[in-house]
Parts: sequence; structure tokens; C-alpha cells
Amino acid sequence: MAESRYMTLNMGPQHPSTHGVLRIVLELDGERVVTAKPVIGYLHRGIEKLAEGLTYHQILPLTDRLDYTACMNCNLGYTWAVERLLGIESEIPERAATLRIIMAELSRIGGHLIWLGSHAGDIGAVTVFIYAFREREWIYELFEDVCGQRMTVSYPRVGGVSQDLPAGWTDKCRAFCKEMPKRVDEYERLLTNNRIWQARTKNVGVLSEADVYEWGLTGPLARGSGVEYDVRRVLPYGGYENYDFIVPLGETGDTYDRYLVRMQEMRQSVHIVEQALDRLADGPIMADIPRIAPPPKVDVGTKIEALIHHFHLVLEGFDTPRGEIYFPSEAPKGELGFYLVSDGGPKPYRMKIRVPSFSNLQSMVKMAPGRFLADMVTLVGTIDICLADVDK
Amino acid sequence: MGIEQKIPDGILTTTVDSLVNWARTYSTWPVTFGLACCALEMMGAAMAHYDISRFGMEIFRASPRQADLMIVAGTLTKKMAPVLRKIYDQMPEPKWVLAMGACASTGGIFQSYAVVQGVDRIVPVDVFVPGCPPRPEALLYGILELLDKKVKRDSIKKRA
Amino acid sequence: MSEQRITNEELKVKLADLLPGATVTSDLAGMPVIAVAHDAYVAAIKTLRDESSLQFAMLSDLTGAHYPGERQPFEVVVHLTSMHLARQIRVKVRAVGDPPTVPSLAAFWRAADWHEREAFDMLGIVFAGHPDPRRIFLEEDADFHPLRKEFPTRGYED
Repeated sequence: MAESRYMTLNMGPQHPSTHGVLRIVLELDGERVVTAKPVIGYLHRGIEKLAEGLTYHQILPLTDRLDYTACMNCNLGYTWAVERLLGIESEIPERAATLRIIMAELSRIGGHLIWLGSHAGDIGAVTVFIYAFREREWIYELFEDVCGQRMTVSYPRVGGVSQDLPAGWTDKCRAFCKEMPKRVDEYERLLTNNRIWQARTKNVGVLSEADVYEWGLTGPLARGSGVEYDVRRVLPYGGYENYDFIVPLGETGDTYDRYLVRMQEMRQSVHIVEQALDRLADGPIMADIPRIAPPPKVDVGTKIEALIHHFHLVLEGFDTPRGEIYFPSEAPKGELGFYLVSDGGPKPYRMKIRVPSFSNLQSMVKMAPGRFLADMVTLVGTIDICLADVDK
Repeated sequence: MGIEQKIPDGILTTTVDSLVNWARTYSTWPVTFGLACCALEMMGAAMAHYDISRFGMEIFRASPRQADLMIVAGTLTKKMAPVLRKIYDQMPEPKWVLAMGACASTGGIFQSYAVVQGVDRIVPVDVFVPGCPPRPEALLYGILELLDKKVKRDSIKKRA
Repeated sequence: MSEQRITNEELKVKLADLLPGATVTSDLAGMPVIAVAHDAYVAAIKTLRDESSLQFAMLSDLTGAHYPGERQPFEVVVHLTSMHLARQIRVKVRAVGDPPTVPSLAAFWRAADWHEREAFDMLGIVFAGHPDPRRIFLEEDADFHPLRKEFPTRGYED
């Protein structure tokens, strides 16, 4: 066996900076990385196989556990996909559609806060980690007021959303929107012009525009390199075409640019939430399609027809047209797509979840060679993975 | 005229066990073993809002050799199981395991080919904290139960 | 970003012109679906990617599906995105032989690398010419392909 002059070092799967159970097999030449091979599958739970045995309503909680830093976005990607399969996209009530956009953008801010906290915390700026969670707790409180769960919400439902807003929620949300840009300013004051931050992130992990297409990268990874691929803009869905927002783009495609892109995206999300709150009008929150949509909970407890209706939906689900669709949506980490194949029954024949972190993590193989060992942590942070999102 | 009057102020009597347990209870250091979604609520418990530091546990050690408590936060897959056992074996005595969440306790909603149906199939578990995910307060309650019922009542003689 | 306005119907006509021998249909939502033969697969993908009026240069997804009972039970499904046209399309090809085999795109398009490894791991579809044909999610020595229809969700060992 030929002796290699490089040292093989194993990073993970239990490691504080891999943000989950990621294993990277590194070949090192001293401090320099020669190759980095991610080994994944340590959180593969078989969600696609489980989905083939569950009705469309029952699959919803599984989607929460995909990208658990932004659960609303995963739920919404799924419910929009099922609605496209059913052909009822245009029958979703206005209020439900607006609420969905509010929740999606709040969840996007939450996902980016986790990215910021863990990325900065790993590089050494531990204060930012604690500050980011302060804002995330605020978002958790908003979600908990609406649906009772902080994180794994399962708030959207096929046909609309599950519950209406409690009294006073819009005021709390406006207070959040007023304060959040100042908090983002606070993070920027700590990091953007910080010499150590710049030294650790500028020219680290450079991805060119050609790399984005070569490796199939989406989300801030693509936009940091100047590729304007935001699914909300390119393939609009859910009402996003009616909202005014900028898609921030980077120039050099390094870690610093991706950091700036994500910070700006947080501000843009706040802007979208404010527009949505202005647009929010009274109305139903669930489509009026008895075949699919459950009756209001208050009726289920008091009227026998509603109880039977509810029972049917829970036990049997609803039939779907034979055929297939693919629905892409913009999750905080990139393009989240659902490919649903239906054989006409209440359970999907095949559900493929196109998860953004899976494709994005491949870019590690491109970015790592030639970097220092200490940069590996920066690279894992800038790709912004969530292992449940990678492994499904 | 009891012995209490003979002892001057500033003298404390205890047993060695109580003293050691007191030290261990208020400085139990967890090892970072966040696997999935529960890890975020564990991080939430460690952050300023819920502040696990009140109990002396804010230092999550990355190395198991420096840790006392393993909080298995998240789903354990069959691929990850040998790693879990290895990390558990690397922890020095005394050590405790807390299974956080439905997945760590029983496999949770993932009754599939790839998931171990409960962490107690691989390591002995002291406390199970149910929830999906459990709130940070629930995790803190589970930790306090562990501290009260197990760590405080431990004995050096039992472990030796 | 330059965008060309084109309807799904116009796109389908264009695709049928550029890919003779392929069947172009629509899915339930109107997305063009191109079914190609096994030996025309790689050429079709290259055409779709490199043709300047199309530019389907973003590989969004590559996956497989199992249809037991059909003559060629394994299908590979590719989703491509064009920024130029602001469109997505689907390309499907059936795997031939036993083990079911399809040419690999990873040989010239790195984006397909892990997707093909996943399809192999989950369904057992072999991608001829893949630079690193290992399993990706399950253990290296696993001897089953879980997304095959005959495999039970709970697996065989507990």
C-alpha cells in the first residue's frame, strides 16, 4: 500500500461546528486542505418512504422536520405543491395566501438568524450567536401565539391555513418589523467592518457564476455569485408577484458576499411582511372545498355533520388526480422542490423532496481544496446546511 | 447541651457523598450531541432567554472526555448509532444520559428502516423528556429531575 | 437577467423540433415533460443545456421512481431550470437491463453527482460512467434499496 504524504483527518459526525451530524473526511498537507469529502446520511430518516404510506394531510408534520430552522417554509413548499397537484391554486382565499406569505418571510428571517448565529459563533463571534437567538425567540413567540408551536409548526394546511390570528397579533408583528431592521444594523455594526471578520471571510470559498451552474447551486450560494435565481422572482408562486422586494446579489462570490446577501435578505423579508400586513383583509382562511378542507374546529365539536366530515378526512384522506407535478419554492437555503406523483389515491405514489442543502453541500468539494483547516468551519457555515434538510 | 454548642461558627458538617454530589450537581457539563430539531430547542435552552447557565451547564463540551451528561437531542439513525455508543464509551464516569424528544425516546414519528426506535437500545438512559420538540422549559425540567433524583442521590461507593 | 416570454405550448413545439424522437407532453400543471429513449438521453440533456435559445443550465433535481409491473420499471426524472426563459421542464428516461442502468450525467455535469448516488442508494438504478458510484445515505454495506415498492417501510430488522 502506497503511503500518502497527506494526513487523513476525520471531522464529525459529532462536532460542534458541523451544525448537525455531518462527517467530512479531510486530507491535509500540514494546515492546508487537499481534499474534503462530505459523508452524509447520519440523519437519513426515510421521509420519502414514510410519505408513501401516509395521506397528504398526515405528511405535513414530516415536512416540518426537513429544514427545521425554517419550518414554515418547508410546510408551505409542501402545501403549495399539493394544491398544484389538486389544481386548486387559484381557490386559496386571499387572507390565507397573505398569512402564508407573512409566515414564510418570518420563517426566512428565523432561518437566516440561525445561520448568522452559528456561522459567526463558529468563526469566533459568540456574542452574535446569543443576539441572534434573542430575535429568534421573538419570532418563536409570534408563531406560538398563532398556532401553539414554536418551531415545528405545521401551521399551513392543504387549502389554506389551520387557524386565524389571535387578537393583537398584527400589532405584535408590526412591532417586530419596526425593531428588526435595527437589530440587523446591530449585527452589521459588530461584523461588517470588523477586520477579523473580513480576514476570515473575504476571498474564502469563492464560487464563480460558472460554478453555480456546474454544481447546481441555489439560494444565497447562487445569489452571492451574481446569479439572480430566486424562485419567488423567476417562477413566482403564492402571490409573491404582487410584492415589492429586491433580490440582493453579490459580486465576488466569497463568504463575505454571501454574508451581505443574507443580511440584506433579512431586511427584504421584513419589508415583505410589512406589505403583507397592510394587505391583510378579513375573510376565510381555508378554501371552500369540502372534499379537501376540514371544517372549522368549532363546528367539529358541536355539529355531527362536521364531525363526520372531519373523521372522513382524517381516516381516508382525499383522492387526487392521476399525474405528477413539480413545485419549486424559495426556502431560506435555496430551491425547495416537491415532485409529487399520484396514482389517483389519497397517498402519494412517489414524493421526491428536492432539498436545497443537499445540492449546496456538494460545493464543499469545490471550495475546500487549498484552504486552511480553520476555513473548513467557515465553509460549512457559509453553505448554510441543515442536516435534516440534506439527509431527509 | 448538645454538640451544636461546642462547634464554633463557620464549620460545616457533611458526608463526602453529599459534598461530591453537590459539586457534581451544580456543574454538570453536557456534551454536544444535537442530532436534529431538538438540538435547536436545546440551543434555545442554553441561550439568554431560558439560560441553562443558571444551573452551571452553559459549557457544552465538544469532547466527551470532559463531559458528564449526554443529552441526545434528535433522531438516532442506524448509521449514527455506533458513533453514539463510541461517544458514550468515551465519557468518563460518572456519566448520565438524557433522551430529549420523542425520537430519542422511542423513535418518534419516524417508524422507518433507518431509525433506531429509541436511544435506550444503544445506551442506558436516565431521563426521557417527551415532546416534539420539548420546549426549553421541558428540557430544563428533565435536567432538574435528573439532578434531583439521580445526581444528588448518587454515591461514590456505588460507582467504585 | 434577460427573460424571453414564451408560453408552455410554444416551448413544447420548440422542444419537439430540437429533440426528434422524444415525446413531449404536459404534466398536470402544464410543465413540458420530455420522454427520451435511453440512448438519446445524454445528447438531449446536452442540447437542452447548451442550446442558446433554451439554456436549461440549472439542474434542479435528478431522481428516480419505481413502477413495478411495467416493462421497464425504473424511471429517472430530471428537472431543469432555464433562467433565460424563466421556465422549468422535466426529462424522463427509462432504465434498461438488469440491474436497471442509465447513462450518468455526473461524468460531465457535477451537479448530478450526488443526485445520482442518491437514486442508486434508494432505488438501485445504476448510472453508467459515474465517477464515484457509492451509496450516499445508507451504510456502504447495506444490501437493500428502500424506495423500491416491495421494500417495507419499517425495514426487515428492527
